[in-house]
This record gives sequence, structure tokens and C-alpha cells, in this order.
Amino acid sequence: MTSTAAGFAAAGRRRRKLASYAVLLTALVVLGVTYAVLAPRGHAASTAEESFAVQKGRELFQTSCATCHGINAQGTQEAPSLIGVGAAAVDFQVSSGRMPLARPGPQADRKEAKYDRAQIDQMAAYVASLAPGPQIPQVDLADGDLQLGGNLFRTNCASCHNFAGSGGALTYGKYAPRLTPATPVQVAEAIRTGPENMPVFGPSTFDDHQVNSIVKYVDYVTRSKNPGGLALGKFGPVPEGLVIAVVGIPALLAMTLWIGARA
Amino acid sequence: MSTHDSAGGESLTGNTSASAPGDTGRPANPPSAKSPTGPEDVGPRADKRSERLVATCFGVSSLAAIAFLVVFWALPKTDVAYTPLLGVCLAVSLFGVGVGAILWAKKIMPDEEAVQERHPMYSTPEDAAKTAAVFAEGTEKTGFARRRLLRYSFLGAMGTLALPIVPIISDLGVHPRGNARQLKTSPWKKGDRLTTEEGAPVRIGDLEYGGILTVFPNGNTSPSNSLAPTVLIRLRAGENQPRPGRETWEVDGHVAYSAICTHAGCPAKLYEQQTHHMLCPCHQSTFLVTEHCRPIFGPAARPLPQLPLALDNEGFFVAGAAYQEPLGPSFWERS
Amino acid sequence: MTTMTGKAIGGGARYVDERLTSANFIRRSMNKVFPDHWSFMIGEIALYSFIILLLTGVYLMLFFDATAREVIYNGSYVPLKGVPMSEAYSSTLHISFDVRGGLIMRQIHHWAALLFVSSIVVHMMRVFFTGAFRKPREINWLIGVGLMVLGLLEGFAGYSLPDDLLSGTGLRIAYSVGQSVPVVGTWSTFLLFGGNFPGESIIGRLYVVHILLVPGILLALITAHMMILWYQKHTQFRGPGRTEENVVGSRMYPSYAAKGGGFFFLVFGVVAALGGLAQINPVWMYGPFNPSQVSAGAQPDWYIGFLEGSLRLSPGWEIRAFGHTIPLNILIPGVVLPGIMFGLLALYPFLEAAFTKDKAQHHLLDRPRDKPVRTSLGVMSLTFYFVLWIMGANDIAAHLFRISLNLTTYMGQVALFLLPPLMYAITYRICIGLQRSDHEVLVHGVETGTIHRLPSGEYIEVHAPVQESQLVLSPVEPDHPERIEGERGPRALVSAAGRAVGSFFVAKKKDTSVPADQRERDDDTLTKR
Repeated sequence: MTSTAAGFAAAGRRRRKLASYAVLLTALVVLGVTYAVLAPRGHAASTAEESFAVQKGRELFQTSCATCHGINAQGTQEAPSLIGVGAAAVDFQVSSGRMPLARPGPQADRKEAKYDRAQIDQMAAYVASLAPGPQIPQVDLADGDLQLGGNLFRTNCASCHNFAGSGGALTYGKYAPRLTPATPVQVAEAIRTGPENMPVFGPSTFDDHQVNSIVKYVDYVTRSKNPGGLALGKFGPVPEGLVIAVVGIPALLAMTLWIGARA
Repeated sequence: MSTHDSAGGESLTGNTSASAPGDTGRPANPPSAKSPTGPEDVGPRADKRSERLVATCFGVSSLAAIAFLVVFWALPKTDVAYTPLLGVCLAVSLFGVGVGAILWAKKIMPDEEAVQERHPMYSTPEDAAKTAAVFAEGTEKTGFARRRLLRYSFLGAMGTLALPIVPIISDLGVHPRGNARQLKTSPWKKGDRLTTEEGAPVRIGDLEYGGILTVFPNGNTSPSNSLAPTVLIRLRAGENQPRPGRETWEVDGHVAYSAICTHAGCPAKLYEQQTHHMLCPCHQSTFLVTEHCRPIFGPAARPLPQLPLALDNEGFFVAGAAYQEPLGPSFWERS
Repeated sequence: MTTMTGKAIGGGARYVDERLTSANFIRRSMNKVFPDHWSFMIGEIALYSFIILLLTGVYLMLFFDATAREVIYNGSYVPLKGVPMSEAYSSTLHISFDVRGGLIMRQIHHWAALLFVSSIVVHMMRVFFTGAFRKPREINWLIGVGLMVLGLLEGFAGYSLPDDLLSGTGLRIAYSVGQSVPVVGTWSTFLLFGGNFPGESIIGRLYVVHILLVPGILLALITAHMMILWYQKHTQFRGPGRTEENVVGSRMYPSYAAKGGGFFFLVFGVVAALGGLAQINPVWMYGPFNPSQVSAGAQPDWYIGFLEGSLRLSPGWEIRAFGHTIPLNILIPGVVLPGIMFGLLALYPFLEAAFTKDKAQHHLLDRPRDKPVRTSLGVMSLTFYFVLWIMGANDIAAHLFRISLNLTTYMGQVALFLLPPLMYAITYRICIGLQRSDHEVLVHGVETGTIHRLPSGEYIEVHAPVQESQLVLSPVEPDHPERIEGERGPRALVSAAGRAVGSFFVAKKKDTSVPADQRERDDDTLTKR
């Protein structure tokens, strides 16, 4: 009996102890959330950094972009407005070398990037400061699902970019580029911002998991090894036919010449 | 081996036994038909060299065949070099036999120039006449020409024997009368929700401006419903120039068109969001989305059929009505 | 050793002969003479590819499951794990990734298929341009055209079997082409596919077509082709000692058997090397067929490319009248045009015989320059075909060479009608030019390379007269002098010293006369009583 009573008492002490922990924890959470809600966004130092980046970005913009996109990025006859395109569009266009444009044409070509990482970030910060737009996406390949990505890619991307991301022709000189040189972040940026004639796939069309999956599949299909030998550009039957026409048949005709020739 | 001796061809065994022991097959006197060749081509030393060369080819072939087996069993089949190595080993093995056999023929067998007379490619008139007479005699004996009853009943029987083939074949497919109806039936009914490939319904705001999505009726993505795929596109305000009578078919700049090309039935959904061209990758028919998807280039003759859009009371896109015309490529019974 | 072998063979031969009376036939077969010219081996490439196709095809049949039943893939290829697909596609992936050596067999099979059709086409070009199709070989020409068309059908059926995205797209187009035929189109496609596209039946039915029906007919036709060839004997190029009444070359046994047999292994070797080193039809990247998906650059295998091109070049014509629709934009490029092309190809020997009123038998081949009309017609037709063929890949070309896609189409439409007549004219001029240079050699002799200085100070090159043994008479029968303008007259010269005699690549020089005792008398008695 006594032992049982003592046992109950001990259990009661433990419960009280646990309860006090719980209260403390709740208080901490409430405090944290309240702080998070009420506290000013970002602290003074990072705001200063951002405004510095925006400042530098504006300078870069005005020296190399403003002639076409307008002094306040409002757009001109030659080039569209950049208000609201977001950091993702700037990062995609400049890091893939498409902007600044080398020469006018149906479409901007991928080139060596003209600006370094820091400069691109500054330009992106400036354009993002003009109006809200898509941020540079955080790509997480580990989150991607290869099978889902493959199916989404074949439904939404392969019709222009080809089954293996080798690219393809569009109307009047435009084309869907080869995806091999694109980084995972650039692929995600293109999906989110729809550069030039590419359609836009926003966050309510594809969630981040879906984009991660597509990017993972693109990474796989453009970089995976080919078990059957040379991939022949991954264009399907056309290069295969060319190989028979310029390698297979000529090799065999040369052999017939050798067989038919007299010693 | 007396290859140019006409007696050599007289009998099967005579030809074989003509090779004397020790004779490598090289005739002592090359026939005059042979072209004069370099010094390395004659003499016992050259002959030995040729023999060694041919044997080397066969040896290489054997080694490559063994290498094939080694690769086949020793390398994991997932290795990226697995198939290429198998190919190289097999090719070397085959080339060894092939090159060896041809070198054997070219370097060791006598380079003969045989002449064969042709037999005439026609029969003598007497021969032909005799054959014709035999045939006529046989035909006469059957009485096929005289006995009309036999002739017609026989031909009739052969003809009616062909008839059962038709009903047998007809079960390969559905009843012909149903064909056109099947092809003319819209896979979308009024009120069908536009759903993504994963089956999620679509509402306003899911598409950005310049966005495109492939949608299916009420989650029916079955491949057997091959005419159903439809594209939902969001145009910017004022971009759409609807056909008269179709002003209410769009919802807030969203338009929906059949994805199946009216030319040869490929999914035509290479959408350019600035020019609003919709390209088919198979034969490059191009449709202008802002002008009711009328064809502007390529072999397609008709616009992509438009699906009238509406919203249900939960705010999801639904078909405002079924497709108003048959989908996909043209066919005889279409209209 | 040799005598023992001889005895053994003799014993075996006696055994067979006392049951089949085969000695005579075997001897005649072994003594059969084959011309040595290289171009006579092109047809063999097709034959050997067919054998390779049968061998690898039987292997693939052991693993392939031609059903449309949906399964969930659970093999080694990770990006498709857990994806629903047809059994046909799944078993193709299984062959490619989970069967040891399965991928190389698949690839060898596909490369051999491309080579089969390619070599048939090259062989046909050789036969056409040398006039080998003429009487008495028209039947073999017809069989050859049939073999080519069946080869296309067989290839297309095989290409469609794996039920991947590309092959499904091809079948979708084939369905539309079938549908476009007036009156019977819808019925016949419904019969073939068992209903609306894609249906459940087509893979299984194409499988029967691919492994039984067409290969059976191909095998029968190839047998007939070769039996007729064997019976009629080869044609041969003109040359010393070669007449309409004989065949000059190597005998079947041993020389030709060794060369031809060795060549089989070379053909197999080339295909094996391609099968190992060059990836073909990577279906795992295409994905399973889905009617809502498509890949840019959707192309058929090369031999169907001309149809793809003609469909792409077609203008958007369609007739809608009296309650019916006739889609000319598919019917003309997809049905009528290939019908005309293959029809003309099949009828050509008869058309040429009718227009030239040539009823003679021909066993000596023409050099293309000596028949400028035929050669120009051939080049013209090939140009037409090649424009269509290239237009089947215009999107790939536009993408790789950065040309406007639309521009390539316009260029193709113009080229299709402009280039063939232009090529006719150019080819005709080249033929005539070559004839003139032949004539030059005949009249002025052969350049010797010896330069003489004349007393006047002028330099001249000494020309040696052409020896009679270096001459080959032109391909016009004395009793049928030239009937087409530009055709060679009976006295014209074909070729002269130092230049290829009786051959167009390998220079040969041989004595004109073959001693009588070297002639192999053909004691074939089939035509005798």
C-alpha cells in the first residue's frame, strides 16, 4: 500500500515537472512567433547590403541595358519592359549570355556570360526592386522525382526541346535551345519566367517539387551515359540514317572494291 | 589445280583430286588472263607469307570471339562500355573470318578468268509449238471449253468461295457503320472539368500570362481517349480575337483548343507565347492561337477545334459545351 | 591427307548422289561463272543484311512481348521505374537493360534493317543506271521493286513495335494517312487498328506482319530473285572477250564462294561494329507512347523519310463537298505520290522498251554515259526523291544550321519542281561531254606523256593510236542503230587504254582473247530437248 502511495506521489512529481517544461516550451514558441511576426524584416546590415546591390545593379543596368530596355527599365520599341520580370529572368538572361544581345535576330543566342556572378546578382537585385517578380529559384535535385520529372518533361517540354533536350526548330528562325549547357538553376528559371517565346509555368501550374523533378530529369537525360555507344546527337532517326549513308554504305562499297579488284 | 582445263569441270571428284599432295593450289603457270603482278606475289616465300597472313586473320578472329565471351561474363551489363566492347569483339571476330577468307581467295587461290557460254533465253519454235500442243490437248480432254455448265459452275464455286473472307475480316474492327460516329463524338461533354495529367482540376490563376497546360476531361488521361488532349492557354487581356459567335468561349483570357493536329493527328502544342504560333512538330503546320487557331503555315487545312470554356460554381474550368466539330485529321465521312 | 579428304568427300558425294542424282547439278553450280565487278556485290549486302535480320530477329522474339496490356515497369532503367506502360514497351526495355547482350542484339537488328533498305536502293541504282533491268530481266526488276516496298513495310512495322513515343507518333500519322483515302479509308483503318486510334490490337497485328507475313513473302521473293538470277546468269560490263553470249569472271567454287562468303562476314562485322558503337533507337529516352505527348524532331527511319518530307511540303488543300471530306493535304503526298513513284519505278523497263522499241535481249551492260536519256531520267527521279527525303529532316537541318524552318519549306517546295529538270539537263550535258572525250581518244589516240618540240618551236604531246584490244564497242546492237538522240552509234568507242576497260573504278587491262581451252562450256540442258 505504502509503496503504491509513494509510487503515485513520484508519478505526480514527474507530471508536474513535465507540465512545467511544456509551459516553458509554449512560452518560447509564442515568444519566437511573436518576434518573427512583429520584428522588422531583415536587419539593418542586410538592408544596407541590398540597397548597395540595387545601387550597383542600377549602374550596371544603365551602362549596358538601358539603351534597349529604357532608362528606367520601362521598355522601348526594341525591348520589353523589365518591370515585374523578377530576379529569375535577369539571372537567366544574363548568366546564360543571352543578354546583352549580340545582334538583333529572331531570338537571343546562348553565349559566354559577360558579367560575373556578383554583377549578375546586382542587376537582378535592381530589377527585382522595381516590382515584385519571380525570385531566383532554389533548385533541390535531391527533392526531385526522376519518374515524375520524365513524364512532365515529355508532356510539357519535349514537344519543343526534343525527347533528350537536344532542342528543336520553331517557326521563322526561332528555336528551342539545346538544354545540355544549361545549369539546373537556369532550367528552373526558364520554366518559371518563360524567356522570349517559351511559355511560362508559374508556381500554381507546377509546384517546386514538380520543377525540381523536371530539372532533375533534364540533368539526367542530358548528362547520363549512353549504354548503346555514341549518342549521335540524340536527334532520333535522322542522324542514324546519315550514319548508314555516310559510314555503313561507303565502308561496304569500299570492301566490294577491294574484293572485286584483281590482285 | 587445273582450273582452266575444261576436263576439270567434267566431274565432281575429278576436280577435287586434281590437287596434288603438297600443292598449295597455286598453279605453276599462271594463266595468261592474269595480270602481271609484283614480285612479292610469286614464289614459295611469298606464298608462305600469304598463308601466314590468312592464318593470322583467322587467329585474330578466334581471339576476338574469346574476348567477346570474357566481356560478356566478366563485365557487369550495366557498365557503359559493355555493349560497345561486345560490338568491337564481335566485329573483330567477324572481320577476321571475312578478311581471311577473301585474302585466301585473292592471294592463295589461282586468279582465274573463266568464261561460260550463255544458253539462249528462248525456246525453239518447235519446242514452243510442242508445248502448246500438249497444253491444248490436255485442255481439250477436260472439255473446259465445250462444257459450259461445268465451266460456269466451277468459276461460280471459286467466286463464292471468296465470299466467306469478307465476314471473317470484318470482325477485325468495329462495325463500319459506327466508325464515323466514333470519330465524330466529342470526348468532352458540357461541364467536364479541365484536369491536369495528374488529375487536378484547374482554376483561374493556375496559369500565368503566356502559360500553357495540357488538360484532359475529368481526369481521363487514358491513351485510348487519344483525341481528348486539349491545351489551355492564358492570353493577355485583349490579345484574343475570337471568331464571331465565340466571344463567350473564353474565360478571362483563357482559351482552350484541341491539341490534336487537324492534318495528321500529332499533338500540335509547340506554343510560342509572344508570337502565339502553335506549331506541330510532325509536319510543321502552324496555327495562330489569337485568331481561333487558324492555320497560317504548313499542310493543315483547318483550324484546331476550340473548346468553349466556362467556370463551375467552385471556380474550376469546365467545358462550356462539347466540341462543336469532329477532332483530329479529316476523314471521308467527316462532313 | 588430301587424298583422304578426297576419299571422304567422294564417299559423301556418292551417298548424296545415289539419292538425289546431284553430281551434275553440283558440278554445274560450282562451275558457274560470276563477273568480278565490285558493283555486283551490292545486292549481296542486302541478302546478307536479311540473313542478319533473321538471326537477330529470332533472338529478339524470344524476349519481346507484343501486347498492349498495361504493366508497371520495374526493371533496371531508373527514370521509368514505376511508370505504367504497355507490355511491348516494357519488354523492349527489358531486352535493352536486363538481358545480357540484349541491347547489342537490338541495335544490330536495327542497323541491319537500315542497311537492308539502303543496300536495296543502291543495288537498284546500279541496276538502273547500267540497264541491267532490260529484257530478259524485267521480272527480276519487278521482284526487286516488290522487295523494296516490302522492305519499307517491314521496317515500318518493326519501328512501330516497341510502342515508344516516337513509334506511336509514326502510327498516328499512318492512321491519318489511311483515313484520308476516300470511301474506304475510315473502314480500312478501323479494320486494321481494330477501332479508333490507338486501340489495343495494332501492336499484336503488326507483330504478325513483322515476324511472319512480310518476312515470309520476302524470303520467297528473295529465293525467286536469286533463282532467276542463277538461271539467267549475271549481266556483265563490256570488255575484251565479253559478248552477249558469254559470262567472264570467277567460278562459283572456290574463288567466288570464298569471296562472297567472306563478304558476308564483313557485312556482319560492319553491322556488329555499328551495333556496338553507335546507339540506335534509344526507346528508353523516348518514353512510352502517350497520345498527348510528342517530341520535337519526330522522324521516321530514313526510308520513310521521303513520305514525311512530302507530307511536310504539301499545301493545306482539302475538299469538302456533298457531305464528304477529302484531305488532299494527306491523300496526295501520303498515298497518291508514293503510288506514282513506285508505279513508275516498277514500269520503267517496259516504258523504256516501248519508247526505244528495243525488243532485243541484253546481257552486256550499258555505261551510264552511253544512255544519256536513261541516265538523266534516273538522276532526275533521284533528285526528286532526295528533295523529299531531305525535307523529311528539314526541322533538324533548320535547327542545326540556324535557318528559318519556314524558309526550308519554301525552298523545298521550289526545289521539288525546279531541281529535277535542272539535274536532267546537267546530267545530259555531262553524258554528252564524256562521250565527246571518248570520241577524242578514238580519233586522236591516247596521251603518252611524251612531249616533242617541233622545228617551229611548238610543243606537242605524242598520242599513241588506240589498240584494237583496248576498244570496246558501244552498247548498241548492230541491227538496232541509235534511236534516241544522243544514244551511241554502233561505231562509237567506249573506253581506251589506261582508262578503265569494262569497269568504272578499277582499272583493268586484260587480253582480249580467252583461249578456247579455258572456256567453260555450260552444259545446262534445260532449254534443250
